[in-house]
Amino acid sequence: MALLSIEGVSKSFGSHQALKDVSLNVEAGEFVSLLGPSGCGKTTLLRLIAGFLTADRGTIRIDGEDITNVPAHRRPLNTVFQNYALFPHMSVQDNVAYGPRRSGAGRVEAAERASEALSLVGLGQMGDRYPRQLSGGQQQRVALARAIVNRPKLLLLDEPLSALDLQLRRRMQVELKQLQEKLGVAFVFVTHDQEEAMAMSDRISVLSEGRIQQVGNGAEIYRRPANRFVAEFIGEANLLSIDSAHGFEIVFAPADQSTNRLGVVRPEHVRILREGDTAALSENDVRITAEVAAVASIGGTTDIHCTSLGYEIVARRLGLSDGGFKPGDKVTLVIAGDDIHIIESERS
Amino acid sequence: MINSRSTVAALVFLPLLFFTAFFLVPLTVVATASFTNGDGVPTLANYARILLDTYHWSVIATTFRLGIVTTLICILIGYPLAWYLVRIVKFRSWRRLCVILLILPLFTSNIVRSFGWMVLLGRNGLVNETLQMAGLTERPLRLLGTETGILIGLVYILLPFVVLTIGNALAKIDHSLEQASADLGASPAATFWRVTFPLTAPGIAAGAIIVFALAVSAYVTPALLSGGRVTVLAVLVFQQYSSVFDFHYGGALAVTLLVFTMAIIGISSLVSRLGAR
Ligand SMILES: Nc1ncnc2c1ncn2[C@@H]1O[C@H](COP(=O)(O)OP(=O)(O)OP(=O)(O)O)[C@@H](O)[C@H]1O
Ligand SMILES: [Mg+2]
Repeated sequence: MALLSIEGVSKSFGSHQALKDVSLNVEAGEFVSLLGPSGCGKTTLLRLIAGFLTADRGTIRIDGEDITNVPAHRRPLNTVFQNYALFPHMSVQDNVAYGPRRSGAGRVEAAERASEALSLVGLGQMGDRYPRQLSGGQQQRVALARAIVNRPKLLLLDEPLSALDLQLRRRMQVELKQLQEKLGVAFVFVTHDQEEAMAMSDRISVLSEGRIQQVGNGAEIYRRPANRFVAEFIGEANLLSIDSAHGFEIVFAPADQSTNRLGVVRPEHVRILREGDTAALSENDVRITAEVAAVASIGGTTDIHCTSLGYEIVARRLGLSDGGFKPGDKVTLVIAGDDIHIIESERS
Repeated sequence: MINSRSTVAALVFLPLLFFTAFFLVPLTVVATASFTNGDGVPTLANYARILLDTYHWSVIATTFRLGIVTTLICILIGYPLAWYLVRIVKFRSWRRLCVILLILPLFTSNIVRSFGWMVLLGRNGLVNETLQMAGLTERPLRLLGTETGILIGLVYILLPFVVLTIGNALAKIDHSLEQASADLGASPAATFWRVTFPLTAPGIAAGAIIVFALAVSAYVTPALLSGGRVTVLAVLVFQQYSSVFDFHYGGALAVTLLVFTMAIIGISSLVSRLGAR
């Protein structure tokens, strides 16, 4: 039985439907990310799970128990808020001891558990300070300590790292993941940073316009996107309409004659050869003649933008070398047949 | 350079000038008068006359009893009202109307409003008629000319100040703090007493200081609603300045009022700070 099970949940604000028939299961100890562009309903879904909003339709269960209409303070889960929401009138120690105190622990026991949680996040010495006397990263840790002090089985996190600078963010990603594994607590983690989601999650749930588009681990979502939105949203993709496909014999249709099947090709899977160079071709390779339009080096990779059949196709080479390709060069693009992921497009 | 320096000087100087001209100078004049007699000779006689006399002590007691009770009642009524305006009213236009109704009386003269209450609180006034109709009293209550009557008038006039300061504090509370409290298992009552209420405490304190200071120094309302039967310090001060023309004794009364007011505000803020520990 799943720890958290969401079935057919919908939520509207006035005439705006923020969530449409969302279903999702989270297993005990699992790290699930909610990933999607701004306004797609991530926070809304999290607030429904936490109990700050009530669903119009659908059920939410924890450990099999229906909590759809249970008020927030009786739900067996905790939340790390995006702005941390630390109580400004309480010391760090009192902030963290707040949870144990409300669930019936005595003053001494609550203080002990708070100290323990604080040292777990590396803030053992900061108990006497007030939230305003801490840096953003430290406040983030206090929020985390406050949320785990009651040892919940499920923790909800709404973009907990978005206010931190890049370096601190990378470090916190690692620490957060370690803490999650150590405590064995399930995370529902909202982010709009796909690298963060890829690096940390067991499974990623991609949302768009209030609907779950695809759920799967990072590799699945990258290699086999369920639809055009996921293909374009996760990583970069060349999207080419497919005219006919028999096994690996794939023929692409020109851009102005779109069909209802779409081939998704990642730039790093496009090899680029000079015209007439037939070296190292295999039977399964699909060949396209093209012309180089632009060459761009970014960091450790070089992107060669080519035009063919009215598409712009990007081929990515590792390293800074552009292989001597210049705009205007006639080239052959080679794609291995099994690197072409085919989406039966819902819109043609 | 010269220009900007003179601008800075003006920015520092003008408020200082204003403060000196409209606050320090009058206060100094009053205080100086209170420590001299009619011939300009320094003396403490004016204060001795006040502080060694039981009548004056009873006036001081009445004044501050009225001030403290008015403040407490204003907070007790003002908090729920502010809560209603900030948390319960959903329609912006209705909230705006409520706020206008609340502060509109502040635009009319104190005298007019107090006369209004004289009519309402009279023997056959609306208040007594309602109480009798509801069967709460047999005979009409004597409200006019009692501390209760003055209290009602003061609360009515000063209520808007607490509603505004508390409402402002309530509106500024980040909603996610209360959600975090619920998330950590606090019942709605616990969330109110441990998060919402402490965070509105500065608003309550600000409102309380305004109401208390205005209540103990109020002249018009006590004068009109007391019917001459209840005396407060401000009434004594006014008599000395306007009809007896004894600026020395009157000044001493005014300074006494000021010192007691500041002492009570100081003590209560000290107590609340210690209590918060
Ligand atoms: N209380 C509300 N009243 C009205 N509309 C709301 C409310 N909360 C959210 N919405 C709308 O619902 C949609 C989803 O909002 P939500 O906050 O869940 O987005 P999000 O995915 O968290 O976005 P972001 O990444 O920007 O935080 C948005 O279009 C938003 O405008
Ligand atoms: Mg959000």
